[in-house]
Amino acid sequence: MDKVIDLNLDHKTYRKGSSSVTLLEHFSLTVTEGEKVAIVGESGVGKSTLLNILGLLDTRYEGSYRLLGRSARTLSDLESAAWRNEKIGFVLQESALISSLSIADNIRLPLLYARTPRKGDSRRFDQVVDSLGIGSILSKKPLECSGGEKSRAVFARAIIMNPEVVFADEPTASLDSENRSRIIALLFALNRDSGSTIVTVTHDASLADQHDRIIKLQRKD
Amino acid sequence: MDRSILRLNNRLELVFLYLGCFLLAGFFVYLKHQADDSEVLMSYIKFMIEKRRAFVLGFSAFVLVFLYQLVTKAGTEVRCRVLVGDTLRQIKLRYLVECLILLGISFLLSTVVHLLLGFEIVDSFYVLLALAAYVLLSAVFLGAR
Amino acid sequence: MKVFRFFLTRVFLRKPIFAIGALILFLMANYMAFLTAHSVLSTREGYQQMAHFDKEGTFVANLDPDSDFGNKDISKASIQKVYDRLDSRYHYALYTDGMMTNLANGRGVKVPVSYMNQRYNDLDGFPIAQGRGLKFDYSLGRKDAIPVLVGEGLADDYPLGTQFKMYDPALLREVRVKVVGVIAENSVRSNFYALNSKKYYNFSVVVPVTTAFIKQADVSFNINALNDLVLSDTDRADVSELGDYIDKTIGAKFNLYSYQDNIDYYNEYLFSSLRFLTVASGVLLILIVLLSVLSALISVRVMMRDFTINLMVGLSYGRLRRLFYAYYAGLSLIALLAVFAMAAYSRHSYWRKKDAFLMTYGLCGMIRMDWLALLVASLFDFLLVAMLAQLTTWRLRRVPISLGVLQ
Repeated sequence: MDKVIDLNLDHKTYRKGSSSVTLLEHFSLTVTEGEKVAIVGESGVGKSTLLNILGLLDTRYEGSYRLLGRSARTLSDLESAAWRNEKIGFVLQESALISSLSIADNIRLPLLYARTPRKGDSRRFDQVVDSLGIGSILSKKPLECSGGEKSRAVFARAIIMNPEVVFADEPTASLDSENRSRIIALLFALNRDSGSTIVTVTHDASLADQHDRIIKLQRKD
Repeated sequence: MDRSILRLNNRLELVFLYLGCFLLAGFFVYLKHQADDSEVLMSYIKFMIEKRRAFVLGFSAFVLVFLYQLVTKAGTEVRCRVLVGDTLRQIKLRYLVECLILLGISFLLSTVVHLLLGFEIVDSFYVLLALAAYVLLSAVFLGAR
Repeated sequence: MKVFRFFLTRVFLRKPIFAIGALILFLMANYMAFLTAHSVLSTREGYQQMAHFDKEGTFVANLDPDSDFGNKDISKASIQKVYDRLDSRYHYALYTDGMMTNLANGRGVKVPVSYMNQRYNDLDGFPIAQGRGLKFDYSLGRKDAIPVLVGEGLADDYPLGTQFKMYDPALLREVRVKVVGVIAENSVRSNFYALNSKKYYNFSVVVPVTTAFIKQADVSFNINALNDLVLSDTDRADVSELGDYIDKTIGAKFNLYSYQDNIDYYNEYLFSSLRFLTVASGVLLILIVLLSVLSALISVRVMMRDFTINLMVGLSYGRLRRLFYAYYAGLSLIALLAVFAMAAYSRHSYWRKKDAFLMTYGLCGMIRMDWLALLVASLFDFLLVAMLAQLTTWRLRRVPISLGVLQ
């Protein structure tokens, strides 16, 4: 199996004024293709920081990181953006939608940044919308939708480009049990059907249990 | 839908505000023209004439407030765009270019009006510089939230 | 207080751009309201002074702007003829100032000397703080003392009853004078043709003018005195005749206007200018109000989350309204203090420059008119503060406290 993620962190330091916080000291992570990995740990331990690094959003860290066989350090800012567009999908909480755009436009947003317009984009859009059952809310603005509908819209945006890796940050937080089950099912169906690698940061123990591997981050005493 | 964080109504609001600033500068030039012909009137509105640039700059500070709220509100949008393949640098660049283009259009429009009315446009240049500075400053606040 | 301090440091000033924006607008509003009110009050004061001459048969002289009077060489004999004619056929009030003398005083100010005849004194004499008014039954002999008034600023150096020697710029010689009265503090005269232009008499000496004084005075004094001559108990035909006589005798063209003529002039120039000022200020003040309201609503929208959280944990809308009142009142107070400082600096600058006609008494030299104008500015502030506090609270009331807003 190919390594999708190969991370060897010395540490990640945040500075504010004279004080600094160091996280993820001597942390290593390897994830292979098609694997489902859950990252758990108490608040403030660096879960979201880790996801930012894995998702090519944060490059200021000490250590090495290879994503899909390529060193993240060798990627330019533009290349990182292109990778986020084509190879990575982010599943976030329901609030991560642009409130002034319709649900359809929110879902189509990655298509806007595609380097070349691809054949079948509109078919892919219809397919994603159908599979998530959100055809009736496409013209609505996020504020007019329920929490579950917004979560599905965020999910649709994450998968519309058929990403090789999906990073999910607390995907079930603030969802009722029905919508929670729905999102979990969609996430694993993506892994099963498209072979996408899934890395999920969560506090939800039952969600974590459904992954192939659970990595627990702990604060260094 | 485009890659800009500005919507049509934002663009219209900006043009309206920019034009307002230039026309206000024109209003003060009009006051000066009126007072130039009358010592009595000059004695009354001298404080407005002498401090007209300060007044226009004071009023134009509202544009900075407006731009600030625009970029603050766009925080989530910037985050979403970065997640799906945009970069903060490009978002800022597009924002700057678009705001400056709108500023240029407003300046040209107001200049035409000023010239038609026979007003000098020196004061409009001060406003232009101030507004361009506000745009640059507001771009600093543009970021993901 | 604890809540206000919390809100000030953690909410209102957390995004300082809104506070700075509001402060700039308050500053402009105060400055505009203060100067506009000042101009209106100053013109009103001048208009009231001018009304002293609102009598049937009263005419005020001024030099025709087209006259080339300044280039003429006028002899004492010819100008005396004009005064002789005035004495024989007319009742005239005479007042002139602007001539300076070196008179030792604690402030080191060069002292202006003003001249006034009895009729002018009766029409529009200076208000007196100490002693009696001017006396005109004095002799101009070398040994005799001329009874004079001094301004409040000279009263310490030359108190009531003091006799001293002074170089008289009208007689061009040293004269002995006696202080018979002290002019009331901040006594003011307005320019008849620019009612908002003032002279204050805190550092002046006022000399009574008699027929004998005019005869002995220098030509330049006689010419200056004609410029502001006031004729009373006369008619347009006599006035016209006098104008012709002056023109023929000394070659100067004088205009003599009745009170009604001046009112017409005021209506045409002064009041239209005043109207122009108030309309322009009004437009700008309305714009300031609009921008302040928009700015306040924008700031509320951006800081909605902070307000909502505070409302959720127990802040009442009534208390929130009071917080807004305190916040905007604080900003308006800063702006008002800035305008006060500017006005005080302007008044104080006349003391630094030792400009005798503009030095005034009061806190930092500020006079009643300044305080009234500040009061007008503060009233405008009050309205603006009330409007902003009510509007922002109303806006927040319209937003339901919900998790949706927080997210």
